[in-house]
Amino acid sequence: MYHTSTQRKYWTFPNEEEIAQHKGALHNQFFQKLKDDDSRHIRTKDLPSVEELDHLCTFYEFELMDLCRRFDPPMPATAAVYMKRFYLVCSVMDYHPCDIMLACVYLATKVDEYNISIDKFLTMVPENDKERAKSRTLGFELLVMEKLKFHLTIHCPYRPVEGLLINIMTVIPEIADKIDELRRHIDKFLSKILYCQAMLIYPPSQVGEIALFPSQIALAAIIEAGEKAGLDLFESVISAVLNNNS
Amino acid sequence: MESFTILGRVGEGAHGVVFKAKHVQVRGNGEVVALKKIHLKKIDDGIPNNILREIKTLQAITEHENIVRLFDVFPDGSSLVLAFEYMVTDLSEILRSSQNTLPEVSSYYMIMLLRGISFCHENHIIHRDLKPANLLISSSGQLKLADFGLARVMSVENERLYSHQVATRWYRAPELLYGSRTYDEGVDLWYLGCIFAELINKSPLFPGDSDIKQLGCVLSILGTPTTSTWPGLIELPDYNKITFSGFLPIPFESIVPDATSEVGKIK
Repeated sequence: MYHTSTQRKYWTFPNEEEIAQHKGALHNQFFQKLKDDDSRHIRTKDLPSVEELDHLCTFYEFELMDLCRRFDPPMPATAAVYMKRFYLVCSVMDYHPCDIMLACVYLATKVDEYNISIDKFLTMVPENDKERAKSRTLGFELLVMEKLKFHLTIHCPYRPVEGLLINIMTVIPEIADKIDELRRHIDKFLSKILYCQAMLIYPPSQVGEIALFPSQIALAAIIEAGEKAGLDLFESVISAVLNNNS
Repeated sequence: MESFTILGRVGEGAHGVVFKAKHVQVRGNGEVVALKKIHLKKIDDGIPNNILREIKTLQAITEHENIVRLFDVFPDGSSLVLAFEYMVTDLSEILRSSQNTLPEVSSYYMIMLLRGISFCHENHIIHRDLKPANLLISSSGQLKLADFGLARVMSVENERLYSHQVATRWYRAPELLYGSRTYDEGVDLWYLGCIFAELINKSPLFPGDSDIKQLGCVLSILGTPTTSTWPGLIELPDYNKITFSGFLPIPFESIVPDATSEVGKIK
């Protein structure tokens, strides 16, 4: 289903440079708007740079992961991708990453069917701040959805990883003994990639269809996990994939 | 909302109002649409889940002639608006108003229903709330599945549980009535059977008054299941909570007396 998805059509970019260009353009737009609105003389260097804003976002991406870890199971991918997509369309200068982070996570809990009430969602927020956090989270929910063009389904690499693992096990049954260790490394790898731009560049999922190319993120996760576990899975992964596609 | 002229109010749902409206702009040649407007201000937990499910599933599977089309989603102030294709009536209206539907017509409806459902299942989506009122009929008589507010994408992770509190009671499958939380697309097939019988009988097959009586109603017609007719039955969560012993199945010909002999062959 990835092939016909909005993810592929609207939210997959050829490389990091193009993503950086998008962000740069947004920043210029903001700067222009500020100059037009304000008679005082504003120089570019008075504003935080695109890189600095990226750092701020990264900080809140870590917060997002921490927040997701409070839920069982954590499933941070949908929320993390929502936030990345949001800041490809809107400037960090216009919308505070803290608000957007909360709205993205709350929306993702619903979309991924972890149904929790807003009060339960905000248990970590101190009592005196609760009402404010509540109104901001709910207040930004619709805006986030709109900026995401109402594209709510995120194709994650988890499914393709499972599919590939099963294929690999048919080629080298021995890895069954190490499967728990492999899974641990895979989970780590898949969490790590949420901090970078991988989910905006590489296709994550080709499950349920005849794939022409193996899912790149899933492949990378398994090979990397193999290395950590002292297994050279490269050859067997490739042959598993080729078998699957022949 | 500026791009639509409201033609009238069609109905009211749990979370908002449905309008019949017309596109002002050239796009779609003044196409008539149904606008479902959800007022978010009045809702405690923000955008309701069933609306998110509807958007999500229809974005994935809207390209089928037997599934209602979602043209657009857009905000309107603090409301969220979903623009669907406009359908003149639904199957429950048709069942109510015309007592003499020809068997041929019923079978056409069934074929369209089966095509729609099979497309959902191919795309790993369980509808979970099929009933005559959710089967809309276009002006040209085409049947389309609608109301995907309870639809779920089947998950690969086996440990994820589904809610058994789904579907309108009369159409709820017995595994749901026994509290199963690990069911599959089979529940949709149960609804299909119920709807098929209703098309033939012109009245609901299992009209239970309460959740408990619903199971009794089903078993009194189909017979009390045993582990040989239903393997895995005793493992269902609520199996021991309710027992209905000794119902014998009623012969098929008496359940749907008006069914043609062809229908009898597919049971």
